[in-house]
Amino acid sequence: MASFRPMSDPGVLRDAAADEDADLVARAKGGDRRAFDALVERHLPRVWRVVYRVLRQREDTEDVVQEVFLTAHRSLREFRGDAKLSTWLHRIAVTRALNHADRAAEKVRRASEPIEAAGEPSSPAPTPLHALEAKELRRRLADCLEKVPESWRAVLALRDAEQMAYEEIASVLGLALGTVRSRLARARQLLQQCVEAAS
Amino acid sequence: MSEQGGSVHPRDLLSAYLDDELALDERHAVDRHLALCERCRRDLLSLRALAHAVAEEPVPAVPPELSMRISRTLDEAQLAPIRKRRGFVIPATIAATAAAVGILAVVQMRERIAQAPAPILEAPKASAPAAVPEERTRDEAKEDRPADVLTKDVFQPPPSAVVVPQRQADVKAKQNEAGGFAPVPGSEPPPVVAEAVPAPPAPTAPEPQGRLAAPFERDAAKKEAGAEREQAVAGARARLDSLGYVAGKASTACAERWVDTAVLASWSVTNADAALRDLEGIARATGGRVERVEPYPSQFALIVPRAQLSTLVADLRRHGVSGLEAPISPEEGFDCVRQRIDVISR
Repeated sequence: MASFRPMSDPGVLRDAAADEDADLVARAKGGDRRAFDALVERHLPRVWRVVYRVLRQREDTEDVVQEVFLTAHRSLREFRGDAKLSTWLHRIAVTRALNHADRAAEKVRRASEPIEAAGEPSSPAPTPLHALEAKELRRRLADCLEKVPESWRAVLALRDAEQMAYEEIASVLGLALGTVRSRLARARQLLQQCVEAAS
Repeated sequence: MSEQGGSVHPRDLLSAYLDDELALDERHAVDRHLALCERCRRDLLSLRALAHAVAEEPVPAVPPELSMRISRTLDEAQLAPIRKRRGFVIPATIAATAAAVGILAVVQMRERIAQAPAPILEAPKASAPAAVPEERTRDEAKEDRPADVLTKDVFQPPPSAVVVPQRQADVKAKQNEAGGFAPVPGSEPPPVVAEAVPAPPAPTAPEPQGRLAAPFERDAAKKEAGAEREQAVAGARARLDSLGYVAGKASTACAERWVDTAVLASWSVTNADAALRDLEGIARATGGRVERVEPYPSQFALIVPRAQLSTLVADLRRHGVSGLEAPISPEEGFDCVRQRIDVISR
């Protein structure tokens, strides 16, 4: 029979930050609250960014970020270090953010009007996105991101803002690699159409 | 790909091309196309500008007091009664032992349903609810159920801890012998039942008794079993969601598998075809099945009834499975496994 091996990936190189995380996690698992507080300090900015990019509301982001770290603290014992701590935290963060968005009725309504419903750009000659002034591009992008479903924002945030590889995004979102690729492509195409058509 | 004017534009691939996430042959194909297609080069430029703009979108700074607030909330949470989560906790040593043999098991909900106390037995349990912490709501108890079952049945804790299901099974057997659901003389509801299993609502109508009542009882039992399964799936799903993992359909699918399947082990293999053949042979012999772990082409999950656990382990060893002694460590992406492990360990 073929030789089996456990499904961990021993080839993953761990940088100094990951080692420091591992040390803090071990201490936090042992009940050291200061170690967990240190983990919060280290990961709060990234978790904050991702949650904000999904929800785009400061107050909601504050609530969800708190939930994320409470969940992480409660579940830390199950974190075995197979993935990076940041990946694990991002998974909690995105799931919490999407759950939060699902609960908000107006967000659901917004999601039910995806920008694809607008169809092809109405303008006969939309301005190519790459030709837009930076300020104008930012303004249009902000408007269009408001219309995009939160799950799309999540994949865009993880790739474009957090620079995650598709494999890590798949892990965070619990999706197949191919789904990440197609979802990202679709989100970008429609966002591009929206920005080019916006005036 | 889209076609326009006789040429095929690889629009769907441009996004992954931009991120350098294409396979080599796909990348070469896009390279060749871009060399000839002005429109796709413009599209690529636009996508790059878009990605850059998304990355540069301003995000408000983290409120300076937020980390302090999180810390305070954690302090308050730690002061909350630990007994609220009592149903989930298993000793770390037991979890570690389970991991060390590389197999984690999930109990069939049907077994649980079969062992559940008949409603007639719940009636005299006037004093039992006192064993349930007051703040533990019925919903919370439902949520606890899968892990609660799991820790008891999989890891075989000391006899004192399993006395409840066994006694319930005995009572049930006596009831069946009696041809109905008449109470068994002298049977007392074990005091820990209410703590381990949330009692169903007390029946409002008088319980039918005797042989004539049996068919109705069986129908009612079937309905109850269906309802229990639904509750178990809902509870499992809530539990998975509360842990901060996948939401939506994926959670429901995992929850259903959780309550319906028994043992699940997964491995990565170096020779996928040979491994698949061998695993399928083992699965056939043990009444189980093999599932591929998408999207990984060389990873498999072997799902077999819990009763076959020892046979499975012996077969795997006999087939030269190495790595069985190593801790199971599923890759990200196989969420059901990961979530089971997470919940088991709570």
